[in-house]
Amino acid sequence: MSGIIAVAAAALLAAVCGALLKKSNHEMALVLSLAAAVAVVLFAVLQAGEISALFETFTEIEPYETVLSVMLKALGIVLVGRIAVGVCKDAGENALAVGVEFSMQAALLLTALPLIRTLLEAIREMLKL
Amino acid sequence: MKKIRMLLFFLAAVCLLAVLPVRAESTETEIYEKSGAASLFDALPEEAGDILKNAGITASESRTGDAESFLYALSMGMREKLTAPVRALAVLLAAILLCRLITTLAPEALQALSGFCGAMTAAVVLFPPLSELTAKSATVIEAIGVFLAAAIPVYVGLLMTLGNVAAGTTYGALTLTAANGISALASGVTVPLLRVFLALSTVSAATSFSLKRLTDMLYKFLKWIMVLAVTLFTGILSLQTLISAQTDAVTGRTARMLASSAIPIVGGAFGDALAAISGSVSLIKSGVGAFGLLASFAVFLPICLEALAWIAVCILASLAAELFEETRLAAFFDGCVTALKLLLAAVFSVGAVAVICAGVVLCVRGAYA
Repeated sequence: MSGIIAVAAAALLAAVCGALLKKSNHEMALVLSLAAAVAVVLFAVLQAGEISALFETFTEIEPYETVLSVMLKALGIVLVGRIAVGVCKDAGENALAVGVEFSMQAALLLTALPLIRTLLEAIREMLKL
Repeated sequence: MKKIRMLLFFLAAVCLLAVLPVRAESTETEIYEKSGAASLFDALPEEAGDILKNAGITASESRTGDAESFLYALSMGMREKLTAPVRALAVLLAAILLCRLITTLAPEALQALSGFCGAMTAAVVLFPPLSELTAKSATVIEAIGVFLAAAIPVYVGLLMTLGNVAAGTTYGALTLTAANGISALASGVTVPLLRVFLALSTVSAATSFSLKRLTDMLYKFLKWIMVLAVTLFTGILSLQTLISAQTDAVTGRTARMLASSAIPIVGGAFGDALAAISGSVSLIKSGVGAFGLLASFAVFLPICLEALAWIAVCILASLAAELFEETRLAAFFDGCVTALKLLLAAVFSVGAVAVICAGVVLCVRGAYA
């Protein structure tokens, strides 16, 4: 509970400072909001250590070791991408945001590629029988 | 001298009487060996043979095992197989949770792709075991066909020895034709279509194509074919055997009465001997019929229980997916449930044919009884 209060306070402080800085130094305001976002996400990731440990125990289940690690990678991609898209939109760089979204799509597809290969192989094996 | 003769006569009578049960037992063993029932155990697949051995049931001593030991042996065999569905369920639940997290965090443009990742994960977890189960069901259907091909001539032989000539002939012709027909239908049509069905369900979940109507139609079509085939087989076999058994009973009683009254002096003894042999054959028929029944269960029940475990996994995963509003995943799990139900129907219908074949043998009474 105290953690989320600290996060909310830090985010509010960063937002207020960013708004004040925006008038005089737009670039610094952007850097501040980016730093605040990264700090908040890092805090959340550290807080969610137990949850990630739980999911890691699932990745040890045979023969599904690789399956859940793909999903965890996808979660990481989405998390990082979302922050990047948000920052780009804040900076007014919509084209850049679209580019980041496209990169996220490509990264997600690349991550899921081993799964697609495994599945296609399994389907081929089954239909060959 | 007279006393000694009387004593010798008495001793000879005692010896003869003592030998009689031994002779009856040897007759029973002889009939059993000649019936070919001993070779039934060899016609069973290895797994079913192991279950029956562990339960203490063999073709020659089927009366030593009981239903409790059979169920215990069956559950012991199932224990190892149930770990895989439980593991898969744990992974699927984790995948659903992660998928929900990704969908919540992802921007709108990426929602479809995150759903696709989830569907891929679920498909990779479920597809290999279901594919293996489908291959196993084809093997089980084939094994039931092999067992029936070995068992039906034995059943027919025993029925004919009991004097049920008409019932035996009808039974043999019907069961051999229908058992082969239903086995061919299940392994030649249902199992290949099941594979296509499973592949379509997976493709439907992974892409935006909705193949639900097509898969539903396929499911209904296959289910109706199997149900119709088994119902027709059961109906015709029961009716024909019932009518033929009545005819045989009349013929048998007439023959026994004629033998008793027409053959002078030994006519009565001949009739009694016929009844005694009929009793021995009836005993063997009951043993072989019970063995056939348990052997059929041992062949098809393990795969049915395994399929039921996977159905439970898919249903629970589907419920969890619906709870987290992952509709695409839920649709995939529902497709898997339908495929498994179809597999269960195919195996069950062929297994039902084997059970009915053995059950009818148990129910038919000897014509000389």
